[in-house]
Amino acid sequence: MKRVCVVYLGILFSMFLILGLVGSRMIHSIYETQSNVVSNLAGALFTESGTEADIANFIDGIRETTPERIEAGRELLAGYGYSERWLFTIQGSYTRTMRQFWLLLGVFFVLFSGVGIFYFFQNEKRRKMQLTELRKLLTMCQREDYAFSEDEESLSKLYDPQFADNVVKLGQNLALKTRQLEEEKDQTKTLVTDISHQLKTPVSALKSCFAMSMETEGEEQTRFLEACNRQIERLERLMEALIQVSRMEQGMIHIQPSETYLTDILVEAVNIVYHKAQKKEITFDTESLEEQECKVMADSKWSVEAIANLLDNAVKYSPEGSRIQIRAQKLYSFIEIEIEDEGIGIPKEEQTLIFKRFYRGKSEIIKREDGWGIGLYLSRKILEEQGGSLFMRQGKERGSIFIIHLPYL
Amino acid sequence: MNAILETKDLCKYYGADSQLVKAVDHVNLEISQGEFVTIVGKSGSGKSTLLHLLGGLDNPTSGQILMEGKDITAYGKEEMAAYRRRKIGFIFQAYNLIPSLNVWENVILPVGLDGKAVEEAYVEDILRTLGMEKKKKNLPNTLSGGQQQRCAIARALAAKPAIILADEPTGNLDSKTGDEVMSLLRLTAKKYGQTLVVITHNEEIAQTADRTLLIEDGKVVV
Repeated sequence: MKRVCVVYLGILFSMFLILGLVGSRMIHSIYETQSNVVSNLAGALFTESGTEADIANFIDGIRETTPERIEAGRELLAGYGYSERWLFTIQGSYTRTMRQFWLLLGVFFVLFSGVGIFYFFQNEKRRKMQLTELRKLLTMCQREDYAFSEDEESLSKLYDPQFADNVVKLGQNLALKTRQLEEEKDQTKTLVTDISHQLKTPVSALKSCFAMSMETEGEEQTRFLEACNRQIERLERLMEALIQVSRMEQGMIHIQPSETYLTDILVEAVNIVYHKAQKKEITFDTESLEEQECKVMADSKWSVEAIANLLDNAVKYSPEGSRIQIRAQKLYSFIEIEIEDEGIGIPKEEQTLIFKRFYRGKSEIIKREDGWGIGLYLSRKILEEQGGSLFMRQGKERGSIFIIHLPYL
Repeated sequence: MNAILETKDLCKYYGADSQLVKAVDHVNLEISQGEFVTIVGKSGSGKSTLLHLLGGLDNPTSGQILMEGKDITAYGKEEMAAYRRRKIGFIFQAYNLIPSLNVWENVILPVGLDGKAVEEAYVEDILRTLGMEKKKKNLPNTLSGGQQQRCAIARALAAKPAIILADEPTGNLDSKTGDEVMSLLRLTAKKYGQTLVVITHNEEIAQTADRTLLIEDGKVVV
């Protein structure tokens, strides 16, 4: 746009220059012609004859132009049949000059308006092309085809770079959203498969227990009914866990981090598993927590849930009378919480797998315990959702250390 | 098309005949947008070579690298430089900060090289997320290792790359600082929607990845 302006101004300026030069040249030639006419008149009048008084009158006439003299002269000439118009015709140069002047003006007009019209149409064509392209893009968007966002070059040729950049960003964004949507669909599908798989075992156990109880009587029947009840309780717990997972997956859980005291979260999490731990005489060691009066950016309800999950695992897989250490330490941008148990530990090859949904450890001890392979998955999801992370490392001697990072204030 | 980065039969050989070293040997991989992938393997297994190929720092012997569907191996020198500046953010074990420039200048350098205007608010936001907003005027030699790596992360993020390639980003840091730097890297990558590819020896980093690729003798085993 800037370039066009400069070019246009340049053309305007050069036209002005040419008009000025040619114009002054014309004016000059008019002046020359006029002085020639006067000299010519003087020659015609005074070379043969002419008195001093005549010459003086003539010079006075050149020096001063008065309307009376013009009128008198005109009348005199008209008496001999010489009209004003005719005077111009004999002095052909006047008309010539006049014609040249108008011709020049005409050429300039044509040139100038030609350039203007050319630019106008060029612009119009470009605008039309831009509109057509844009319409094409929109149609593509409707078909969920965002290929245009991969061709920034041709877009920036057509539109100004900033606009092209915006269009590309929009396309990429929409493409990402579409992909995410598809992924979500896939995830839901696997979730449903996973859930039905998880439900199969307790339901079939319940079914056979129930069938057996129908066929038996008395004490035996009671035993089977108790077994039924255990399965029902198991199903209930599974249901609860699944509801949490599905809420998490569908983004129905809105994690809203706010300023919270870390100790509040930890104390509440410990309280949840305290009873269970007491049964196994497991103690919590929180000595390094006392002085950590620090605040974190966390959703307290869900963070408690996440940490309680970890503590619950620690209690579940630790021997009776053992100790669970909870440590917290300020890092640069995060608070690091470490939960160390003296339990069975996790083999190296499973350390990556344990955070996957519905993954259960391979060892017998784990299979004996009740669980669905949801806790760690959920905990990590919750913590990552608030900008934190969760990972583990092997304990120094045995057991495992789970490490949480939460952004702090 | 889900993959942001894809390789097809990618090979990189050094030497010839009996001296032939297959650093990268027929690697086919797909990395989706927003994914966090770690690459593990013994030293000399070809991980770094693979990362350099992905980042356009090195030319493959054969095969294709498709970035958002476009084959970058067909790029000329200029195009390749532009690809590196715009699409890729590099983080190395050595921080590679320019000692005479302060943190802010180091961070915005790649954006400036690309002739783009610096989005100050965005860079400020990155520095705030990384906890470096008070160190903007510091020269690199006045920073700790962790801070220097944070600065390098900020630099990698500043040009809004599609992919961040990190080669042992925590290799020079103690384990706590390293863990934290990784948490930050994950956090920022998630926040700004970037794909993260990290070479590491560290098991804990590999744990937190969406996917881990194991490389042995130039081949992707898992």
